[in-house]
Amino acid sequence: MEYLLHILVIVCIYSILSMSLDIILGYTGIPALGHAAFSLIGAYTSALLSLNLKISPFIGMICGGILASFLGMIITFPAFRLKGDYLALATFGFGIIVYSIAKNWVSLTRGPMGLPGIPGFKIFGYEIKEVWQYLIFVFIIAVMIYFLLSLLINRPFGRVLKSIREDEIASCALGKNTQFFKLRVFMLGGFFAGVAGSLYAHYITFIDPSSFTVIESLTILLMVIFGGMGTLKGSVIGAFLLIMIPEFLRFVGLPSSIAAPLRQMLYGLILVILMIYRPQGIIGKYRWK
Amino acid sequence: MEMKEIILKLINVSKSFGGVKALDSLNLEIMRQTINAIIGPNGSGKTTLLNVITKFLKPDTGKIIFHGKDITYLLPHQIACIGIGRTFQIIRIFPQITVMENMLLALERGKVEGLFFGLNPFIKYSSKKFEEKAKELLGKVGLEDKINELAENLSHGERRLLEIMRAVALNADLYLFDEPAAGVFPEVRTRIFNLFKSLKEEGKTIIFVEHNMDAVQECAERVIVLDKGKIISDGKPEIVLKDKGVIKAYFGG
Repeated sequence: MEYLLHILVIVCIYSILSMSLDIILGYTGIPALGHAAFSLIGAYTSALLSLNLKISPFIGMICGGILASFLGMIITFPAFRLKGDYLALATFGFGIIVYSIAKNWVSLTRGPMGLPGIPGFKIFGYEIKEVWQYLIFVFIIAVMIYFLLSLLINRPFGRVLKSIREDEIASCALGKNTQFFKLRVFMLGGFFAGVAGSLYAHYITFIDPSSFTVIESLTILLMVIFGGMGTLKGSVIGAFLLIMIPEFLRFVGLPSSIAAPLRQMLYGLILVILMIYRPQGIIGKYRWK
Repeated sequence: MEMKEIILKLINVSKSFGGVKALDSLNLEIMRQTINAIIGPNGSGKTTLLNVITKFLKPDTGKIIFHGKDITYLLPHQIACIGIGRTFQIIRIFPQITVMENMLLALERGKVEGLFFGLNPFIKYSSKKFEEKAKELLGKVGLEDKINELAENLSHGERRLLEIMRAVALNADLYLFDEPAAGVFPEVRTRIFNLFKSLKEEGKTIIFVEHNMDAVQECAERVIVLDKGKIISDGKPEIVLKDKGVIKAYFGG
């Protein structure tokens, strides 16, 4: 039972990640392949603040989000000049850079040894220890983020994002400062991804750079595409299914040395099948051009 | 002839692509509340002219004055905000959103587009007022029953109409239409030109690029003929279209 609850906590955290990527990828149409970098920044910021300065994880979470959002700002500058595949490569590169910094800045991050013993969240002096308590906590945050983002995308701001995805030049001709919109959407996506990273760090209580590799970015990307780009519900469904499906492999009784690579292969297979039969994702409407 | 104020003025504007002079020291004045047609053979600089005015291309030299203000160094989105709306030669609607959303993008501007406005759950916001306006505008060209369609499902002519109405929804002072009637059914063309005339009645100024001579005569009160980046003739359509230089440039004869 605890195992199932643990999986659901992970689903909630990944839902936040995939929703925050969806507003960049699915709504604004910017191919971003470095999303794990945002959650790395969020996770390390709040972990280091709570370990070294004994700062409350709540404040750490916000700080992590803000710092990740600044990273989003930096990523936007190539986004102003690059388009399509080139931009995808640039964001990919950013993911690798951030990962390498976390791995090699040993004096701050302890590099590949990681940061153990990260304290958990405390609410009014009461520490969240049990998995079910943490599930409720993360679930509430995920629902709040879902609510805020769905509000945003149905308002004029969200419409402008879609217009940038559809035709940036036409959007400019209607007086939209498309670069400023891209900047803000990257910062917003970065913020929530940072929050998700922080939630992960304080839940697992141990982080190392290997949790935030480029493969991780691709997994989040796959969740968004799988569920359907341009729908927040799709991102949540994508996160849910892509975490649940591989978990069932555990019950088949395969040794872990086979189960882990099989998980990667399964992701690949799912993507290939999906692209052939349902390129817009499970509940998506928008097709990538 | 009554005196009208100048809304747009180009002084010595040049634009080259490599060695090709698309616009060659162009001087042009457009009067307020007029319908102006730009004609000329392919590659004569018509679309370049519209792109330079709306800043999608930067002019190499020269100045552009709009309402007495220098707009030479503004950005494309700023051009739209100061009251110059445009359409494109290749239709640029937003295909995978609805016709209504296409229109709302032009109608809802300013503070409501802010990020924190969008994220604030304590603000109640409804687009109803703008939806009414969009319906009214689309009704003018007979698109009112398509509002919930995805824009990509429209026919070519309907897409043209949508793109034009979306520009009109900006409520600009000056409209630049790039081949608004290219490839559309004659009845739709009539709808478009009737719309231009009614826009003029509202005090708007229109510049449009056109190839069809009958259409030019039907709608425009002034024709500007471009060839190799220069104005070779300029005036009332019935006079310009008989001009020997124009006939030579246009028909090669």
